[in-house]
Amino acid sequence: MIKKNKKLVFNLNIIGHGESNPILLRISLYPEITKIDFGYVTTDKYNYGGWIKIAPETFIENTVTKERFVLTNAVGITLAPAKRNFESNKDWQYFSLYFPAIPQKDCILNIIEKIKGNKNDFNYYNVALKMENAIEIK
Amino acid sequence: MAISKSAYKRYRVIDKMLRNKFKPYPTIDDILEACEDSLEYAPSLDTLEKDIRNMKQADVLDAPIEYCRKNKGYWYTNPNYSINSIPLTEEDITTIKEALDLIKNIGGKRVNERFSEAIQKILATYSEEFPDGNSQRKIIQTDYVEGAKGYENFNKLYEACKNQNPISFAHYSYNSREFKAIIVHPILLKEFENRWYLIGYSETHNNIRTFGLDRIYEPVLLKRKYIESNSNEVESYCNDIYGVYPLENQPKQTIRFLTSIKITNYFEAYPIHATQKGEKNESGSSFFTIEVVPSIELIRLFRSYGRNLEVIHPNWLREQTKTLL
Repeated sequence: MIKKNKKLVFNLNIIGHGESNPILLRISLYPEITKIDFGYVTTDKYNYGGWIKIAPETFIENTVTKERFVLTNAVGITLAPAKRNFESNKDWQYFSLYFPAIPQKDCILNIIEKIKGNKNDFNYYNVALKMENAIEIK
Repeated sequence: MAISKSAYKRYRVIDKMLRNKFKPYPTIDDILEACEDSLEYAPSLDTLEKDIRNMKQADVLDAPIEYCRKNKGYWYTNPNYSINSIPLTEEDITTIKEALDLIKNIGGKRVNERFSEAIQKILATYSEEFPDGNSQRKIIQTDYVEGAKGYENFNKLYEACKNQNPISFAHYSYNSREFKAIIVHPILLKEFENRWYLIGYSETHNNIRTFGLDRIYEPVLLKRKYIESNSNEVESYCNDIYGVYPLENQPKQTIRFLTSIKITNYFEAYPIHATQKGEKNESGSSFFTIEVVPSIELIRLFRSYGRNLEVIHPNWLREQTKTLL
């Protein structure tokens, strides 16, 4: 049984709703922040691999309580409207998004870059966090 | 707690004062005066008081220093105590310096920082200057290049191996072009051809795997029971191989190859594996055998010699390497 307000990590490896979305690798719950790690791999879809950016309005939402937590920081990815251009369609990028701390209890989250966004927006729906699957971080 | 070189020099002065049986119970002013004489500057009284507090700390020197109200001075409650109690000869010091120089060259900056603190502590005790890499003439050179990816995690992974602490990290595979969050029970760090790898039991893959440090992102230590791998399996995985990435489903086997006159001397001088045996031909070419689990690196090595190396056995490896024959 994991006590509340610990440092927890969920290894998820969840694919986004679009084929060119980053993979959602991990969600870490800290007493102060929520950190979500992603990995993006460029495809042949765009010249030189295209670009990457994240909307500053990105938020996570508890699907039951509808409580929202807006992005506070991003590491490894540029905040829109600025963007980082890739050099080839064989590039990759690891990045992390930071949000306020969310309660450490079972929940289902949506991670939304754009409400009703298209397949290119980094949206993830119904990401289930079960505390029994959490691993405590030292 | 890290100790600076200048602080250690002051500690030595303080230590000397406290061990002086002819002038026991030195005051803080006495110590200041001694510092002025011995060092090239005069530390403040605050600094010296702080030094005494630090020396008393268990993680620094654990020095049994007390202030004697009656004699109005400091003293060691254990008369046998000294910070110079590590018996090092001049030869020991030279050897340590040489070892440190070697470590600096092989390990680069990442390892140097770890060791320099400890070595500095020992050498400062003997008023030896810590070897300054910038001013020293380099006499050993390796092909380590600063700026390689992944070394920022070296210390954390080293600690994880040492303490057998499971870790979670994001991993990017160059071959499959995929990211994956992985949980690994680390066994050891291995260097091969100037690249570093983490070998550990991967929960995700359910077996022992190799991960290039350059492809590991943000490892975090987990509070999780460590899964100990079978020691024979670990030994085989780490030792019965040339390189780091064994070919899947290939057991340890005898590999026989023929080297041309041009390259035989190199194989004789630098065996590629501990099991290597050679049978030299009259012409100067040679048959060699090794007992290994075939690896990606072995195939790469064989191919790199082109027509100068021919795999005799097994046939599948001969097929994989004969394109350049």
